This record gives sequence, structure tokens and C-alpha cells, in this order.
Amino acid sequence: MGAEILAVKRLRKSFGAVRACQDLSFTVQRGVIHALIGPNGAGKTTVANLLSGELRPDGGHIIFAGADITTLKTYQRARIGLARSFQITQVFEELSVAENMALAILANEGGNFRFWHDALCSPVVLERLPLALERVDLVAQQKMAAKHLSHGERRQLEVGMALAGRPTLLILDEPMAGQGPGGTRELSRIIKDLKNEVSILLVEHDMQVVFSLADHITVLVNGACIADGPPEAIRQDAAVQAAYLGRQ
Amino acid sequence: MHITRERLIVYGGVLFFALLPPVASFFGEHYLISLFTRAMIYALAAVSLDLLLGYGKMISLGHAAFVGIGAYVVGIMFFHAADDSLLFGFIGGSENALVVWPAAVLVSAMGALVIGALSLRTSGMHFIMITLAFAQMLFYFAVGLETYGGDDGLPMWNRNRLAGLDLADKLHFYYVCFFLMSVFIFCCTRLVRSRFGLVLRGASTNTRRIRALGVHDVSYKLVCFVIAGAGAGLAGALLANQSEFVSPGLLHWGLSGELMVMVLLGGLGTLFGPVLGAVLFLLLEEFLAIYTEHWMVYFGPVLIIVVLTTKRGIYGLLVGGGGNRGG
Repeated sequence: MGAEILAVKRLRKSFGAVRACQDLSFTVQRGVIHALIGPNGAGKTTVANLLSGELRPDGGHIIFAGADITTLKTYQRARIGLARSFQITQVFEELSVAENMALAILANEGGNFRFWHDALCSPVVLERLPLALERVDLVAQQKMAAKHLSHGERRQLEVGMALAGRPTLLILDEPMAGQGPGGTRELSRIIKDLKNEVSILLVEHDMQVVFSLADHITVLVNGACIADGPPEAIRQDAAVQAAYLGRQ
Repeated sequence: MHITRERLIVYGGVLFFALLPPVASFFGEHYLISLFTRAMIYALAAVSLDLLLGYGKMISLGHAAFVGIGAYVVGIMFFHAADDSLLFGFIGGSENALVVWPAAVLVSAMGALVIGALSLRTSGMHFIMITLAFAQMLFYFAVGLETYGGDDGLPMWNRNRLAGLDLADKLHFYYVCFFLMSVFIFCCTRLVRSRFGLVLRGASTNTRRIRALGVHDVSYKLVCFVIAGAGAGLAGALLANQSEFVSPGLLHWGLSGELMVMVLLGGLGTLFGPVLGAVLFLLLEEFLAIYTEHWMVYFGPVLIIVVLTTKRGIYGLLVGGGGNRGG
């Protein structure tokens, strides 16, 4: 396998007259934190949804780990190692934290048409649950229903769940959205720690976070890529400054 | 073992059902045995519906279809056994419960597989309407079955035979129903806590998340739909035996609605609650009907109050803390 984990080729998507994604191409290398940034309405979440399979592109291709996944459905992409978190946290509200995490572990394991034994006592859960909870600092909260967690904890849970399936690429859609300074720090630390196990595509609005975390940055404006390179180059890019940084 | 209020209620319930026949006989109230037999059969159907409503969040308004299918399998097999003819030209009739009841369960499950596979292409309001439409379709199909009595229904001259037991005997039949209801509920409590159950509960709470985790949620929902249909089919088979009569009314959406009321009254997503709901529903029907044929006028407000003031119906009220979901 090559050094690329993800290649996006001339991806297009329109909603009526709005072109949310215009001939977008970029590649994500293995083992890096790749940031996708852009001002509000640049089409960042559309790209995340196209990559995870919730939206169908009008044209173009998505190559993941060497295979064309453009026509695969969301759950099929997840099965082959493409995990994501959502801009608006998506967890199983009515289930406990432990059940949420166990479900994430089991979902990727497959073979869940088992009707008799207690899910939380299955060997794979017993083996991996403690570590999975520890990694996102939720050991103490494991018996709580997810809906009773704080905003930051829910986000931690969601990231933990995305990781539970041992993905090769993790798409984080605005993980810092709505976080206080404490939450941002905690999440930044978690994301940095992940770098060695999983490639990350970080879709983010918060510039400070992006420049402190990312190894490579793609800048999106009006659904098109206007710059692509390492953080230093992006910081100095005139087009980026005009379109984005200038307004900060 | 830690005794929670929940366990207490469940053990109490088991004891109640186990001791009801001797106590009722002692006081000479034999009709109570039949009444509670019916209640247990309805409970079985209501619990199966609770799997759909409470755990799979699939609002089906066509659950009676599977009760009806189960009942008609028993009725039709009886009909062919009685006049020694063949169904579809090659299937002989039977009065043997060990043949007919599994057949009823199987046919209902297959019906649920077909109806579920088509209905689950939709969700929300469309799902409600499509399940209702399928059930009504089957209702009119049954009405049109001239050979099997059509509108008038199909009488059976006696109940099925079960080796070693006499199902015509009130007590025997009562305990057979008690046994089957208990086994079904026990299996359901295991089911909702199993890996399948956890994935199902996840799929019903958040579709986006479950898909992003790599789960094809529809197949889990479909399996749940089939299991619920099978349970309802068993209830239908028992109901046919209880009344020794099968009619299109068993497929009517009115019955689907009644089952739904039992689930809501007893406690959605509690499995044991629907049993309470079924018992209460039949008791109220029985006793309010003595005073007025419009007993629903009095029952309606009771239901509204229970649904508005409790989180998980009467069962949730008894258990405290709103009852549980995971069993």
C-alpha cells in the first residue's frame, strides 16, 4: 500500500444552484493529521458527509486505502476502516456510556446476530472496553446515560466510539465546535495522542487548533480548494489570507 | 441475589399467574380462568409488539396481521383435517398442536419477513401507514376466503391435540398458555440485552451513528420485526384454540390498536409492562362492559392519564424510576 490513505479526485456536489463542492481534489497521507479548513459555508461538512457516504457525489471519485469507495454505503465504508465524528455530536442518548462504547466495539467486530448472551459480557467487550473508556477519560462516567453527560464529555465519547472500531482514517467534523477552553485542550491532547495509531482528517473552523495540530492543511473556499500545503506555507499564502485569515 | 423492586414484581406476577386457577376454583369463579387465559394470550402478543415499539422504535399499526395469520393457520389446518382434504392440493390438515403451532409461528414469521422487508424501506409516518395497509389488505383477503367462512369466520369443533394433555380442559390450556407466555418473555429479556438487542437499541436511537459505526441497521430491524411477528403468530394460534373460532376480526387494525394500548398502558420498552397492560385492559373491558357497552368512554381517560403522567406506564410506576430498558 502506498503512503496515501485517502485520495479525493475531482469531487463535485451541488444542492440546487449551490455548488457545495467543485472539482475538489486532495490526498491525505498515512499517519498525519490533515486539516480541512475554510470559512463558514465553505462546504467542509459537505465534504465530510461525502467522504463518510451520507451524501452521494454528483461526480468524482473517493479512493480509500487504494480502493474506490465512491459507491459504497456509509456502513460499508465504516467496516473497512473509515470512522467519523459529527459536528453535532451523535451518540446513543438513551444508552449508558459503557453501552455506547460496547456497541461501537461490537459494531465493527460484526457477527452481532447473537441473541442470548449479555452483550456487555462478551469477551471482546470485556477485553477492550476498559481501555477504550480510559483513552477518552470516561471511566468514572461509564454507568451514566449518555444524555446526562456534559457537552465536552459527549464529544469525548463520540471520538472514543469512532476509535473503538480501530479505523485507519478518522474524520473529525468540527470537534471543537461549542467547546469551552478546557474541552478544547482535553480534545487536542486526545487527538495528538492518536496520531500514532490512526490517520486523521480534521475538519475544523478554529484556526488556533488547526495550526497547533495539523501536519498538512487544505483550504476550502466556496467548495473549491484554494491552497494545500504544510501549515507554514498556508499561513503565508496570500490567497488564504485574503479569503480567510484576513477576516479573523 | 439482590432483590430489586423489579424482581419482586416479576416474581409476584409469576406467583399470581401460577396460583390463580386453584384460587379461582376454590371460590367457584371458574370464568376467571378463561379470562386470564385470554389475558395471557393477549399479553404474549403485546410483549411481541413491545419489541417493535419499545426496543426497535418501529411504530407498527399492523401487528394484528401476524396474530391473524397464526390463527388462520390453525383454523385452516383444522378445517382440512376435519374434512380430510388437502390444502393447495398437497398439504394435509392437522389437529396436532406440535405440528400446527410451529407452522403458525413459521408462517407468521415469513409474513413478517415479507411485510417487514417492504415496510422498512420507509420510516416514521410512512412506516405506520404501510404496516396498516398490509394488515388491512390481509383483513380483506380473509373476508374474501369463502372456503374458510369468509366474513363469518371459521369455527373449530374442538381444540388442537397435545400429547399427554387435554387442551379442552380449562386448567391444562391455562398452564400451556402460561408456560408459553413465560418462555417467550424470558427469551425477550435475554434478547434485548444480547449483542443483537444492543445493536437494535442503538439503531433505534440514532440511525446516523449506527451506520457510521459500520452497522446495516435495517437488517437488525427486520430480524426484530420477524421475531415480533413470530410471537404474535403464536398468540394467534393460542387465540384460535381458546375461542375455537377464527375470523377476519383477528386481522383487523382494531386489534392492532388494542395491542398498542396494552403496551402503552403497561409500559413501553419494559417487556413485563405489556402483560400488566393486557390484564388490565381485559379486566376493565370485562367489568366496565357490565355497566355500559360504551366502556371505552371510561377507559379512554384512564389511558390518557397513564400515558401523560408516567414515563413507562403502570409498570414504570410500580418499579419506580420509570422502569428500565435493558432488562
